[in-house]
Amino acid sequence: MRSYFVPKPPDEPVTDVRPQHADIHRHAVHRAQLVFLALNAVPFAVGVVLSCAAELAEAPVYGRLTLGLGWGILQLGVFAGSVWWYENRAMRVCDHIERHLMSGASGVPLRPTSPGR
Amino acid sequence: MTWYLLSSSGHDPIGSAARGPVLIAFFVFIGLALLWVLTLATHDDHPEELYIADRSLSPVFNGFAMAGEHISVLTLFATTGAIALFGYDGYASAVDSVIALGLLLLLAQKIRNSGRYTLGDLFSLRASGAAPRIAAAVVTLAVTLPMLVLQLRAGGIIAAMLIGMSTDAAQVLCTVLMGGLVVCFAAVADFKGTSRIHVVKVVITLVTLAVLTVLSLRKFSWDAGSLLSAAVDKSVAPEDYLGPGLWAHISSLVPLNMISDHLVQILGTVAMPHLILRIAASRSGRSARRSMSIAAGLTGAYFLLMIAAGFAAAAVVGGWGIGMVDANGQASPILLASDVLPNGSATRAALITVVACVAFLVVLTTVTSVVFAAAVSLAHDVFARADGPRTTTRQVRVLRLAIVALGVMGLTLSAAAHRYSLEFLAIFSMSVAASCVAPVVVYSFFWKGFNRRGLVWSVYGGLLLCTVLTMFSPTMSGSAYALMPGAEFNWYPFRSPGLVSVPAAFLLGWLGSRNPGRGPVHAERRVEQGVS
Repeated sequence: MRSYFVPKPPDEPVTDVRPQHADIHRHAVHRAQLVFLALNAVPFAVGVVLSCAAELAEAPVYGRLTLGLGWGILQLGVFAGSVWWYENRAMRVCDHIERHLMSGASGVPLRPTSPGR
Repeated sequence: MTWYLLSSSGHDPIGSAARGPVLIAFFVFIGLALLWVLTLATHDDHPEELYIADRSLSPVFNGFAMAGEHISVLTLFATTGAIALFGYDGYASAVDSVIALGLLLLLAQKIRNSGRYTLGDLFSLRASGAAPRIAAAVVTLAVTLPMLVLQLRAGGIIAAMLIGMSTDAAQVLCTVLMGGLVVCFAAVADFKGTSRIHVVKVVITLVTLAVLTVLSLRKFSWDAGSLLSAAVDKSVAPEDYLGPGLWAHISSLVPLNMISDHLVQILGTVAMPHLILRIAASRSGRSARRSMSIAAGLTGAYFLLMIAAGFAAAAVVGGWGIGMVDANGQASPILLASDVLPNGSATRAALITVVACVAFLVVLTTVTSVVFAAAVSLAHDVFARADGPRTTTRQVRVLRLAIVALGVMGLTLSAAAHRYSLEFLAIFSMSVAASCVAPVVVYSFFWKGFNRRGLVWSVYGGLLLCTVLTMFSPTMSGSAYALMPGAEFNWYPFRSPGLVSVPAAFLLGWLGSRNPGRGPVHAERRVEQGVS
C-alpha cells in the first residue's frame, strides 16, 4: 500500500502540501482514465474494421461462430473487466487522495483509513 | 424479400386458447402497476426534489435505475428484432450500446460534480445568456420527440398483437390507449417514483430474458452452436446473416455506412438528456461514477441476454415468421415466448404473459423517462428563465403541463405516422444527440477555449446537417424501408448522417470558438468544480 503523506523533517519550513496532492490526484485520475480508454478503444477499433470487412467478419472461428461474433463477445468481456478495474482503481487511489484533499482543505484531521476502503 | 416482409399480415402468435388467460393476467398487471403508480404520485412542489430526487439516490439504487434507462423499447424490441432479422448488424449495434457506457462512466463524475442536470445547464458551463439554453431546449426536443413517437408506436403494436388484432386501426387504438395511460403516469410521477419502477423492471427483465434463453437452449439440446446454426438457416438471408451490411438496406459503401452507424451509436447513447438527469440525481461525483459502474455491469448482462434472445428468436421462430408480424422485428421477444414452448401448455401462457408485462413496464418507464427529461428541460431551461425566477409551484405546474403537451404531441404523431416506416426517426434522434450534444459536452469539460459562439455554431450546424442529410438519406426515400419508398431523392448514400455531421459539429465548435467575430464575445463563465 502506497502512502501519499511523507513526513517532513522538523527543521524544514511548513508548506502547503495540497497543490502537490492535487497534482497526484489529477495524475492518478488521468492515468486510470487513459488505461480504461485504451483498453476499450483498441478492441472497438478492431470491431469497426471487422464490420467494414465482410470477408474477415464472416471468417469461421469455431463451428458457425464467426470472427465478427467472437470479437463482439471478446469486446464485452474486456469492457466488463475494464469497468471492474477502473472502479476498483478509482476507489482505491483516486477517491482516497480526493478524501485527503477535502479533509485537508476543511481542516478536519485525516483519518488513518486504509486506501482499500 | 423486403416487400414480403413489409406486407405484415394479421398473424396471431398467441392463439385463441391462450389469449383469455394472457389478457386477464396482463390487465391485472396493468391495474396493479397503475395502482402502485398512484401511491408513488408526489405532491412535492420543490423542483429539485421532483426533477432529480434532491440528489439523494444511493449508488446501488441509481445504478439499477440507470441500467433500467438502457432497457428501452428500442433496445428490448427493436435491437432484438434487428439481431433476429439482420444478424451481425443488430449484434454490432448491441455491442456498441454497451461500449458507449464506458464513455458515460468517464464523464459521470464530471457531470455530477458540475452540479448541472439539464442540457441547458451543461451548455451554460462555458457560455452565458439565453442562447445556450434555447439551443439545449431545441436539441432536447429534437432528440426526445422522435424517441417518444417510436416508443409509443412499438407499445401499440405489441398491445395489438396481444389482443390478437394486428390491423392498422387496432394498432392505432392500442397506441392511443396505452400511450394515454403512460402519459397519465408521467404527469403524476416524480423522479424517485420512476426510479423505483426502473429498478423493478431491471430485475424482471433480466430474469425473463434469462428464462427465454434457457428454454431456447433446451430446445436445441443445450447446444449454442446448433441454435446459431438454426438462426442462420432460418434467417431471411442465410448467406449474409453473419456478415455486415444486411441492415443498411443498400449494397454500396457498406464499410463507410458501418463506421457512420458505430459513431452515432456510441456518441448518441452517451448524450441522451434523460441519462444526464439520472447522473445528476447521484449524491456525489463518486456516487455517480459508482452508479455507472453498477449500471455497466447490469446493462452488459442485459445486452448479452438480449443478443442470445435475438438469435434464439431467429432460430425458433425464423426470420420470415418474425417479419410477417412486424417488418422491423419488434415483436420477436413475444414471438419467441409463444413458440419456445409447446402450444396449449399453461407454462407457455404464463411466459407470454410475463413477456407482455415486461413490455408494458418497458413502455411505461422509457416513455416516462424521455418525456420527463424533455419537460424538465422546458420548465428549467426555458420557462424558469424566460421572465426571471418564478415561484417553485409555478415551475412544477409548467413541468406537468409540458409533460401532458409532449405526451399528446407524441401520441398524435405516433397515430398519424402509424402506417409509415419510421426507422429514420430513431436514426435522426441518435444522430442529433451524437452531433449536437456530444461535441458540446466534450468541449465544455476538456477545452477551456470553448465559448458561446463555438457552442452555437456546433449545435445549430450539427442540427442543420442532421436534418438535411437525413432528409436525403436512404431512410427517407429510395429503399423499401424508407418513409417514402416510391420516391427517389436519396443523394446522400449513408443510412445515418453521423459520418459527416459529427466531425463537422466538432469542427464548427472549434472554428466558432477560435473565430474572434465582429461583436464582443460573451465573457466565459468561470467553470465549476470538476469541470476545469
